[in-house]
Amino acid sequence: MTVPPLTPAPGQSLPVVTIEITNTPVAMGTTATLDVFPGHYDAEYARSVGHRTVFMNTMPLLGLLDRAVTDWTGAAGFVHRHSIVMRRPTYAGTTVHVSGEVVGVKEVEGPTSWTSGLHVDVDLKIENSDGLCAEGNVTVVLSDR
Amino acid sequence: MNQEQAEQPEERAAYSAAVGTLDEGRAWIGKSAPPETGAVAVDAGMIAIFCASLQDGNPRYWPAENAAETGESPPALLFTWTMSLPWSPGKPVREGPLCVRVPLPGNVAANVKQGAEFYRPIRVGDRLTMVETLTGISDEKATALGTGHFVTTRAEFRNQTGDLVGAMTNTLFRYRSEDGAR
Repeated sequence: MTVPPLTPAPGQSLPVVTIEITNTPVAMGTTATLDVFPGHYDAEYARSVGHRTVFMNTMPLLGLLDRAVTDWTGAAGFVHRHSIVMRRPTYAGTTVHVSGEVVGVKEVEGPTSWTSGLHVDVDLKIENSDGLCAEGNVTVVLSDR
Repeated sequence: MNQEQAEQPEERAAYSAAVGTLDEGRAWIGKSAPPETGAVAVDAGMIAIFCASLQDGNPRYWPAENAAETGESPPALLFTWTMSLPWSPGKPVREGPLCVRVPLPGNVAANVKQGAEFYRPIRVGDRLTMVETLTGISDEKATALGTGHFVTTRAEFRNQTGDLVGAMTNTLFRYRSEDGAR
């Protein structure tokens, strides 16, 4: 599949990423990240400490932000920076939408070859029927690396 | 259970929070933990499971068979590559990260924010080492989950050749679960 060259510009919206978050991806994500906190795989424990059910852990949530950006850039994009603020838990049993908007584009000479090139800053949100679960920012670098 | 087993204190799970006073916790501010090297090298199987859970098909993470270069790790897994296993033969379980190890009134944790910068790819087979520092503990705050304190830590990550791979800042909320509003 040929992908047209990306010409990022502030104000552009990224294609929305939609994913069903069931107990299965929550459990897979918590295991693959070695984050064995039971709030992520044991619904009874989660409820005992104030939650509705199991919820996604931080690293897969960051992974969703990165996925929304690299789905858009393709493999050429190097994730140089990412950040997330969790506003509410992303509970199993919801359909999650990840949306993003380009907020800045600039050429940067970074400390390494991977961080030198066109820096594209994207603000993103992770939302489901509960509302805004998380928001974040990704800086992806487009270069020859 | 033999005598030796009966006398051993119950092992605290890696995620358990250490309970203490705010003053005890604040004495830890500015302190760094000894370097911690991950229990596993950057691993293709864990990467595949992580990517499958998110349906992320980025070719960086899915190298073609017989590809000359090894695959890369999703950057989101940075911290995983320095974590310990909940059990391994002949070794005591390593305690959790500083944010749960620091004594505070909060017996339960919920993560609030995380940010990281990356300077080079993380490749399958790399072995990462982290040095963490406790940088701050907030005053007591009440949230929907409960009453507690926000704990901020910063960590630097190097690979087996000593190259700086990335740096991370994390804020986690330590709260009392009995106060939890539903």
